[in-house]
Amino acid sequence: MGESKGIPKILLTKIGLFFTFAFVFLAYLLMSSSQSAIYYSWMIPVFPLIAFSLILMFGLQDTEKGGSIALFGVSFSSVFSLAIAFDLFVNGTAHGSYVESSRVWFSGSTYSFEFGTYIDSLAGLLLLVVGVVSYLVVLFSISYMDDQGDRRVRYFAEISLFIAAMYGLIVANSFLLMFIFWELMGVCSYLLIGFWYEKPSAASAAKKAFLVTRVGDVFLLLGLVILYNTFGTLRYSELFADPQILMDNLEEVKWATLCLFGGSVGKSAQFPLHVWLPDAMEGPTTVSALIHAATMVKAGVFLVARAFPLIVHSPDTAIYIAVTGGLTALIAASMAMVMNDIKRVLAYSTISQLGYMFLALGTGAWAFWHSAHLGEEPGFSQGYMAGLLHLMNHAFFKALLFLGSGAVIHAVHTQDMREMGGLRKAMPITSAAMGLGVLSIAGVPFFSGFWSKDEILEAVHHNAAHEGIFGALWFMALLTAGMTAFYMTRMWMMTFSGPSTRFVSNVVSSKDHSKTGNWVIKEEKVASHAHEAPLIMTMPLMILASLAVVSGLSLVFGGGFSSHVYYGEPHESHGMVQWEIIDHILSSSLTYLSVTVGMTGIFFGIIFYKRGSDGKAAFSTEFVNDIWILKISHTFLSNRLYMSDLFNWFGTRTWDTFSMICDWFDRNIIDGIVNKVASISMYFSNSARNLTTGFTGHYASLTLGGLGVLVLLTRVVMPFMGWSI
Amino acid sequence: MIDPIHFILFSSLLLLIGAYGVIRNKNSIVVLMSVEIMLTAANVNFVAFSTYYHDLTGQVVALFITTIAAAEVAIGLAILLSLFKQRDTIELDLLNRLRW
Amino acid sequence: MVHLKSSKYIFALIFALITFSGFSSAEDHTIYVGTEDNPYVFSEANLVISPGDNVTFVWTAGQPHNVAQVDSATSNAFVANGDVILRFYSGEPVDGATWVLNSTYTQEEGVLYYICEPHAGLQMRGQIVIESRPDMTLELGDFPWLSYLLVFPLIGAIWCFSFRSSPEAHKYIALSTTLFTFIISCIVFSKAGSGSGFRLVEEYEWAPNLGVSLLLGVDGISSPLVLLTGIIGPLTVIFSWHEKEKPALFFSLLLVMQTALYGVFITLDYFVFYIFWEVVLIPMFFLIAIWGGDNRRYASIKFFIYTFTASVIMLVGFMALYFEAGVNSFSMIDIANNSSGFSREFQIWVFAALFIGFAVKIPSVPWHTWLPDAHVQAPTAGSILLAGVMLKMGLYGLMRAALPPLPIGAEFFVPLMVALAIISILYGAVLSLAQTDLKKLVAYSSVSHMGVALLGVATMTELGFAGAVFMMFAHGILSPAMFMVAGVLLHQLGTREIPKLGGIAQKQPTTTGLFVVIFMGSLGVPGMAVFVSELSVFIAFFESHGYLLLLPIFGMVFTAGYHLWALQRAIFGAENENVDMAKVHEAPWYEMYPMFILIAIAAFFGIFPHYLMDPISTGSYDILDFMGVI
Repeated sequence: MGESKGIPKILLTKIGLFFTFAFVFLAYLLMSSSQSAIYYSWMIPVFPLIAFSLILMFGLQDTEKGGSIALFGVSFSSVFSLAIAFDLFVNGTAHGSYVESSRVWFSGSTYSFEFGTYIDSLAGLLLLVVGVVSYLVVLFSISYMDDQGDRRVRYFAEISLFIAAMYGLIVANSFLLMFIFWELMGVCSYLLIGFWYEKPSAASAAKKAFLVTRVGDVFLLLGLVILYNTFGTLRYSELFADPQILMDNLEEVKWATLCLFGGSVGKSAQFPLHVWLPDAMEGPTTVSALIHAATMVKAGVFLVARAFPLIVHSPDTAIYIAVTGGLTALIAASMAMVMNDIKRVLAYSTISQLGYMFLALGTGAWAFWHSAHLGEEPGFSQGYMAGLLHLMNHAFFKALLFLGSGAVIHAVHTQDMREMGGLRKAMPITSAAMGLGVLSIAGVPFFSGFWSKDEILEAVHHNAAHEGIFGALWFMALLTAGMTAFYMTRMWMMTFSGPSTRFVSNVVSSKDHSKTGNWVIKEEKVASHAHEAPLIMTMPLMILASLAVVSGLSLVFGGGFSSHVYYGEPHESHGMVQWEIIDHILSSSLTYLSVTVGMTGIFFGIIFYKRGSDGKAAFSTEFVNDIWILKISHTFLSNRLYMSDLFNWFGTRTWDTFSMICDWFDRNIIDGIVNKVASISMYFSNSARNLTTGFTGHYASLTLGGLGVLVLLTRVVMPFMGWSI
Repeated sequence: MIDPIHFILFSSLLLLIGAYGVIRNKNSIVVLMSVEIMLTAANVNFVAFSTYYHDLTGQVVALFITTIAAAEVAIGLAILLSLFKQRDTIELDLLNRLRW
Repeated sequence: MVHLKSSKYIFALIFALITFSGFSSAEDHTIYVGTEDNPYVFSEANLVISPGDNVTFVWTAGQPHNVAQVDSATSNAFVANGDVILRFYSGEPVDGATWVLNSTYTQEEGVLYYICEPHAGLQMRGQIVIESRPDMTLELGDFPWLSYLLVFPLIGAIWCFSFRSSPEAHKYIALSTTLFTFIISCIVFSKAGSGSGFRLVEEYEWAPNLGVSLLLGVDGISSPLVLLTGIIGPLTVIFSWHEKEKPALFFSLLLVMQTALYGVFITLDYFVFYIFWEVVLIPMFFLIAIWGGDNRRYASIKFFIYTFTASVIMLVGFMALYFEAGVNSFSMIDIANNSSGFSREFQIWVFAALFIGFAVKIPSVPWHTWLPDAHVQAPTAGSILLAGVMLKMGLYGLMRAALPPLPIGAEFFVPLMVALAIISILYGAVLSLAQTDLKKLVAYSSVSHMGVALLGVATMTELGFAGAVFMMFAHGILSPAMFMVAGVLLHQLGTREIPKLGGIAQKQPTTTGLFVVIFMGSLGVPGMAVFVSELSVFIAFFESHGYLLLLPIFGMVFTAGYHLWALQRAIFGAENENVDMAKVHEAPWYEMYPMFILIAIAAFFGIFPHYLMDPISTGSYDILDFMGVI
């Protein structure tokens, strides 16, 4: 890792140059055609795709081994994405509607499939998020991966391809095209998780990720098939055009949306298909930041948001989505509390926060349906807005947390938090940035997480008045908020707090999650050789930290998030500051309740895990071992509810045995019949062989005998039977 | 004239005797002779019916058969001679190489 | 021993002769002017012909006659030649003559009425009805492309074999022949276009009494398969570049197989179809029996006898069709046109017979067991041809030979086809999971993929058929690629057993990249051709059978499972102690380029499927329209 604190001049030049090129190109396009940037949205996935091909061909020649080419591609796409987002949200182009371009992919006399782009505010939001995060992650990884040598070519190529696929998914104009990019992202995820393919655990984790998401993908495909067969099209514009057609086919809409959500369950790692995400941490941390925190897992949320016009007609689906989201949030948060690997904590945290988003969306859909069902004007969907606001916030602060943890891991060469501590002095920027991220995610007032979590809780609480299950969900969400605050604080404290010399403690091997109490402290104070990451790595952290803090404020500043990203009716925008939203939040008792819960979580996190001067916490957590119920829950949670083991057992053992049986069946029974037929004919031939004795006498007698039989037949038998020749 | 049935019976008998000889004899030359007997039986039949129907065709055929029989015996004996040179025997029981 | 120098000239001569050989596609009809019974009639008073056919009038009885065109069926007003444009007139009445109606008159559709002048009062008149056959229209070709397709590889085979004593020449001859044939197949594909009906039709009479003729033609369904055969040909030659044992014979057999495969795909005559169908087996048999693995005798004989027995049953079906149609012609088009009279009983039995023959070739469970043995024991080039092209014959035959004349029979068997297809998909995938030999794994994956194609055919919809044919093409590209992967591994490490492999990725990154792309493509990742076909088939299947789709669609998970398991165990992961790492190296050019080319083709058609889907859709729609299903 570079000792110099500044960014190398060449890289700085490149960054500047690429941005300039991008702006110039964009300006040229806009000038020459005097159309909005939205009409060039098709180019956004193309840039990283070109970068992908260029990296494959010329990557080895590059000094960054493909990094600058990747940066080139992603600069262009980020600039274009931000331009489109600017156009949509600041200029208000296509407010309340969409811009679409489409052409035929292949067709016949009875069918037709198209592809093209579809830009509305939802796409714009995602473009904004992905545009920012992807650029920063690529920038970060140029330095993070600098010890990988020539392998970086493969890394940057795969990352570029992934980014291209993600952009493609966002701008796609039909569920089919979205599905295509969805799968391509899955492939890239497979390649990137298994980046260090010589590690069997990495190869295995990659396979697991692909297969588990494949199960979800199958459901998604089924949903697509149902939609196509019922409505004859998969394009958004055609499907959403006439709600009456949807209402005429409610049964199909229900099954189709359930299947579509099945795809989301796989891709966004919701219960029960969440098992792949923690294992996916085998890949490089930047991969985890980009794919498993900020972009790919959001694709499931994006799908649900996109399919919102369909889901609002199906209350069963909406409830199912909300329940899955809430349940997952709770379970994942509880597992995050006991993880010792910093990346695993963040992975479970991601699963949990995604659960929040689904909870919000499901709630919003149900509320919308409910009011429409009652004949009222549904108006503004709070759940929808809250879910998407949380999506944006989460993308920023989770990417921040992951990149920060990447910097930490890079510095101390371990992922186990028990071996960390006291890094606050050595890595001030990182610790400050991550601290801000923790505050955001914990829902501390006025940081970004606060705004979105509050909106979600409120939306769920709203529904609780109509449908009891939402009450339970609200309670679960509240509990989860507390747990989130707790484990995040725990993470920060274990990593950064304490004296600047680390105590290396002898812990039991990290695969054995269940044994917690075996701390043997070596009386060895090791001077921490950790040092701050170079500027090229801390710069993205700082940017993301500031975004993480202010992104939530978009709800109340400017035109207001809810007047741009909405379903149904937009929230009225009242000038530069949305005072009424602030009033509403500050006056609601729910807000104070959730803030209290969050603060409690932080409090407990501090007292149990803030390292004192001897490297240990003020209050030890040994008591967990003494109370048997806590110990059992701890064991369960540490072993991830034994779900992975269940999957492994069910997935591999059962199917292996079954396929062995089938193989035996195939070889011995089906093939056995074939061989039996052959052996029967062999038997007959061998028997018939014995006729050729070699004795002419025998041959002669056979001839004469045959003659006799012929005579008998024609002269005696046939007249007798009445046949004629 | 003599009832044709007698000729038929006679020639059949000759045929069967010849056939028996072909099937059962061990000596190849005797087999050849039995074949001659069978041919003779056919001859008798032809001549008999030629007389019965007053059609000379039968007798012409009989002449043909006699000639062909002679030629065939000559060839057969030649084959037997070379066979004897090869295998030192003409006993059919011992000549069974052309088998499975 | 053929002398090297003279053989060059001989073959040049043969090429030249073929180039200038004639062709005929227009039919000749004869009308007798006056018959024995009645000298005042035309033998065929109502003749139906196709546009462009020739009609010859032959005088018989001893009266003076002529032929003159009139306006309508009742008019007697003939118009002499030269009076108005486009009236035909044979001249002043003569006794005993032959007169040919110029085919320019028969180009357009319509009805031509004619009379015999002096005997018009005796109602000596007739009409010629010109109509293009509404079902299965033929189109004339201007250059015998399809004959070239058949003849070139054959001559190349003989030529190649004649150079067997030379160390290098046969390779180059084989390569140039296959490349040339590939170019011709591309031309054929582009000329066939995406219109309705058969293109580039050529007809050579073989046995007029039996009604057998070498009738060649391509339509939307066969042209992609012709293209596929053309693509696979050079790749098999390149991949076997360093074949050490009897290489000249090897390449000649590859070339003979090419001819036979082309023959199957382009012929439109049942008799000739059967001949080519059987001829395909012979070179394959030798390829397996001479260059195969340890158990090659068993595998080759099993393969040959199994498929041959099934084909014999199919032959019975063909004969039944011929006799029942009663047109004294083995042409598929003629028999299909006359098939409306087939009874339901007949259709069911004959379809069953034909289906058996084709099902063994597809291969459909439970008649698939010849495939794993044949693949495992065959040399890589043999496997490539077998999996890439030969398996397609079965389904193609079903669509071309069995469906059009027997719609009711097909409808009866749809549930059985659906069941067999679903079983093939799932069973093939489950069995692939259990295999340790990589080649056997790929063989069972072929069973699974062809199950998807059969499912597409069983849906009896345009999208389903299109998906099925596209799957045939896609599988024909990616399955050879998978076999090449197995071939590379065998070549480098001497084993294909997955437990004995592992960690090779570290020493051959580029090749691993190719491997990963191939495996990903084969399991159905979008961007490669297999995805498009699976998508089409599944959508069509839901359309025809609803939620039964749940069964085959979960096959996708198993498919992904065994592909990734194979990748992870054999290629990724830690180094296996059984593997001699020193032997692991990047694949040589003759193994890498074919894989790369196949990936490129699969990706191209995966992203731009319409190049293939347009002709395929049209062809599928035609068949279904003809059957009366759509």
